[in-house]
Amino acid sequence: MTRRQKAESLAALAFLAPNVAGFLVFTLLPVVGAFLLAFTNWDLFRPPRWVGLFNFVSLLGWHYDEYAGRTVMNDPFFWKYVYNTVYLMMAIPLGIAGSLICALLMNQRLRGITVFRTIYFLPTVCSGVAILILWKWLYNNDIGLFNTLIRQLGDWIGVPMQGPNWLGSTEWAKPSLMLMGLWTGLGGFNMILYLAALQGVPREQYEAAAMDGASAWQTFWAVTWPGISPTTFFILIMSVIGGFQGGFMTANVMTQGGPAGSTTTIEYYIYNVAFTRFLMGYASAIAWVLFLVILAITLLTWRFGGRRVTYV
Amino acid sequence: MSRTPDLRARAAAAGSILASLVLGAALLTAPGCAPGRSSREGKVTVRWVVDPNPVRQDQIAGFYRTHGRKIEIILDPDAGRQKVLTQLAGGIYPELFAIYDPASVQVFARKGVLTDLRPMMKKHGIRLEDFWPQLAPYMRYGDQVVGLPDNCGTFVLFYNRRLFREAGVPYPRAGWDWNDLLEAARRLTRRDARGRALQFGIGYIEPWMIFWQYGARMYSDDGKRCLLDSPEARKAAEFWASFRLTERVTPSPSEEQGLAAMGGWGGTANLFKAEKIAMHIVGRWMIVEYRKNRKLEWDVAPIPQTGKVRATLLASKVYAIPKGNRNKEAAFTFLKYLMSKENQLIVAATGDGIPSIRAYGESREFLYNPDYPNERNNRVFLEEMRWARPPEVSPYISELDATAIFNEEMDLMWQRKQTPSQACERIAARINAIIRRNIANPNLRD
Repeated sequence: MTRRQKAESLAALAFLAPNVAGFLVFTLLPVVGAFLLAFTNWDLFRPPRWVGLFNFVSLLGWHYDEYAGRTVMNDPFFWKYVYNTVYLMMAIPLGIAGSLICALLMNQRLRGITVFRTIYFLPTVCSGVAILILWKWLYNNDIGLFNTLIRQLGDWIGVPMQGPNWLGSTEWAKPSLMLMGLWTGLGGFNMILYLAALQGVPREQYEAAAMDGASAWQTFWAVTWPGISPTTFFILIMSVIGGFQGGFMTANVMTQGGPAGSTTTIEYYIYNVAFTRFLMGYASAIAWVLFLVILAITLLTWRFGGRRVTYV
Repeated sequence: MSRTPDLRARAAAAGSILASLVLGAALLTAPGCAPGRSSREGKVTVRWVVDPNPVRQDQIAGFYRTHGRKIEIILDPDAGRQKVLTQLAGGIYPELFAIYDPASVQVFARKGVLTDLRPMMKKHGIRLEDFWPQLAPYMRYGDQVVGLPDNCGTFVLFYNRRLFREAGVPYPRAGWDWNDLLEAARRLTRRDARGRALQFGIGYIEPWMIFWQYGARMYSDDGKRCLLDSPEARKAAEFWASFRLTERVTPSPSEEQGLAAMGGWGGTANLFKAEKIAMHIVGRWMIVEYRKNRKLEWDVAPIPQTGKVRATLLASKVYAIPKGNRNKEAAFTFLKYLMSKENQLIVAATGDGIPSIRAYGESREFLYNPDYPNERNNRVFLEEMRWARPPEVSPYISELDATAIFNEEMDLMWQRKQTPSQACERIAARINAIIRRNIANPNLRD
């Protein structure tokens, strides 16, 4: 290696070092630490004691409750919150479709389109907490904008109408959060990724489709959709990972996980177990189970979804 | 241009970045940057982690008046359990911190982070017998004394005299039963043409007073069983829930939020202060806030009774000294001051609850404050002390688990998906399942 190459390598390493150091200290070390903690009963104050698989059995296992006369899960809260998390993830396909539609609209060559793009991107640059508080007011059962509009609509058509108790009922709380998530996510980073992808689809393919007399719909399915499939695949993977890891901020700001625990996600549960009850070993076990689930689903998506991706 | 100097410049820049990071880290971990508990300019500092009530400044001023400034008190407001636990876990020990409920006292003590105060109490002549005896569950863990309170509060009925007068409803009086209160609450609830509430009769009522008065208990004496499935508890729950579900004289959470937008400030106490609710059952510490609205004509009465069992809720907070802190003597000096006549009379005068030491609670200064001549019924707070009880605790279930289950089932009840009786049955079943699991596997208890 020449002196210049050495100096260049040294410079590169020096520039990389802060990021690598940050990754090692603030990501890898905690991840390894959490893995070890998952086998202890550490509560921050007393020294951790090795408990083997106890935390995992407590989380995923079941036992026969003689008093109740039936088999019950060791941690009934966990399974309920898994259900909530998966339920909330049902909005992911809608979100992806919405972002794509927005991107298609924003991809038009119109005067002032940049202004529209900025408006759609605004929720992404606004403070998340401020948006959540705003939506909490919109959803208020008595004086919220949605229910006020529904009441006024009822007055207008002469039929008394009362909107749902959006965040206060177990049926509506999750759909309400999904609706809000759609609004905030529609024009966000996914739309930007799609916009970039749309502009990367070769013009010649559109010209060929036009010459073949393809309709707009046929052009979309035969040219646009395959052309942006790598982006769709990337967005899908990231959304699924984000979905499993989500729900903390909305629960903490808007619902405190209620009503009746219907908006508590696994992430919020981990937070509560770790930082309210200080059962660090148990929280680490939940975090690792979540990690393994995400890994398995990502690999499955990769295995089966990856086949449908077309790289142009 | 030669590339070598450029590379050197880049290497130098990268080196500077690294050096800055190392220097920054060194500065951040230097002793001077650590949150201070050590001496500053020869002074001993006591960090006091407690709520941000403005009365705390009066208390600190009182300490400086009586003890000079050799010990500096640093007020660290917002004493949530989570924050304190994090500080303790991080080795940043406050000298003195507040704990607000018996369940949390048990959690902290079980984790072994609280100093047993008995030796220092003996040395400084602080006697357990001088406190209200009902406060024992807040102060004790087994044989140890792990916290001392400087105030407490019995739950009594606060009512708005103007709203009663305008509605032509007689003021509450001793001997009232819950049906009298319900009738008054009906007459004091006002709605607009759409049925939207403009004013509510009474704010959210803590359930335990009603449960106890109906003869119900949350836990058995040994804490090994939740008793909310008893007939008494079911009956009490039906009555308690009726205030919001059928009578609609108590606001729902969204109605509370709605009233805030109509001129109040949100939260039951603040809505009482804003004259959006006519009655509120709470402790004396709230008058610190109520005094701020000079137009608010409030008074207090004993909480209604069923005639079966007399009971009301007793709230308090205790101050504890973490085991790891090095300024225990200074912390106890301040703690001793909080138990002194000087501070106990500040508690009485400012309205921050009832002094925790019985003699000061029953003093003339507590019963009559010339600055607030309208507050003529302070005796009510003391009379209720005779049957006041702290919240029930079981050592076999995390209070957070129990509260989560209680709230989940009550949420379903408020949505009319189950009756109050069914909610009680499910709460008991779920809590008892966890108690049995925790007795079998004590590792799961926090």
